[in-house]
Amino acid sequence: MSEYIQLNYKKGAGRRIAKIISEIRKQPLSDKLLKILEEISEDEKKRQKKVAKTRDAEA
Amino acid sequence: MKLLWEYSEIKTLINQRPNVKDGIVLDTNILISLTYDFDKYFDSTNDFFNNLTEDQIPLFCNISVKSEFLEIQRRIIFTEALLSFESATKLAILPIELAKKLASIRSNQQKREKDNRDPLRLSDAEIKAFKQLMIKETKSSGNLWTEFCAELINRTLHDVWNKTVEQFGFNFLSLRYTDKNNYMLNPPSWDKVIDLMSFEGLSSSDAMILNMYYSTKFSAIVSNDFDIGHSVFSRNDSNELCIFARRLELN
Repeated sequence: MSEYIQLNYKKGAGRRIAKIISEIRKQPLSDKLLKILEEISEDEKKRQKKVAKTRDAEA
Repeated sequence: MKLLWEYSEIKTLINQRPNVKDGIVLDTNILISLTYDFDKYFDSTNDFFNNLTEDQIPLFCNISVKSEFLEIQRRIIFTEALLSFESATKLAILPIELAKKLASIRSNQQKREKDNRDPLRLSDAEIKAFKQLMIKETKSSGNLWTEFCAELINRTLHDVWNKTVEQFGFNFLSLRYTDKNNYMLNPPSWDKVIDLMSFEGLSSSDAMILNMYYSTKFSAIVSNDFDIGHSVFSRNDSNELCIFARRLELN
């Protein structure tokens, strides 16, 4: 076998990498993302109001 | 000659076939089992590899493993991020279609958990469907999809891959002159890849990984894929063997 072969699987390596992925589960939403959601919510409310108004007018 | 072995038989295998210590070829699903804590073989695969360190067995893979690993991890990471987004958001404030889709992946995940099935892993088409709904949401403070990727995904995929390479100490098989001389019996060929796809019904990634393994001097491949075990078993070559997490039922 060649001399440049690597043998360094480090004990516990799999669990250390799994931890990187599991961090996503605990990640809170940033202020910027919350701000976008707030704007979406406002637009959504406006849209629903408009739909209700049109429905009332039609009725 | 026994061709299919289990993790728990590794010591016996090394005693009977000491050349296994020259190197082991890894299939992608093994790397997923090693690095994803919701995988059903996570604990057993981690124990198996921790035991391998005592015998200093070098690990080999190729570029097909890298490509398939990144794709599966992308799907896992986006699924986790969307579930995390769902639990941190009031669905009632979202456009109805997006809210419905998020609620549906949450209930799918809960049902899988309850039925003791594999965790939810969204397909490429499902991730695209979320992208199409979220990318439409552009507000003065930013775009929902762009911000979601920047915040919840960010460099996770980079970190997972870089750490995997650094911590596992892979040896990448290639067709360089030195690799050919040291590890290869014959050069892998596309003809053989297409044969594996046609006559055994393998996916292109499985066929490329298997064809690389069949072209090397190494006797063992570790996999949790029935197709890989079945192929090794059918060839019935006493120089080849497959190591599995569990006993493989081929009949």
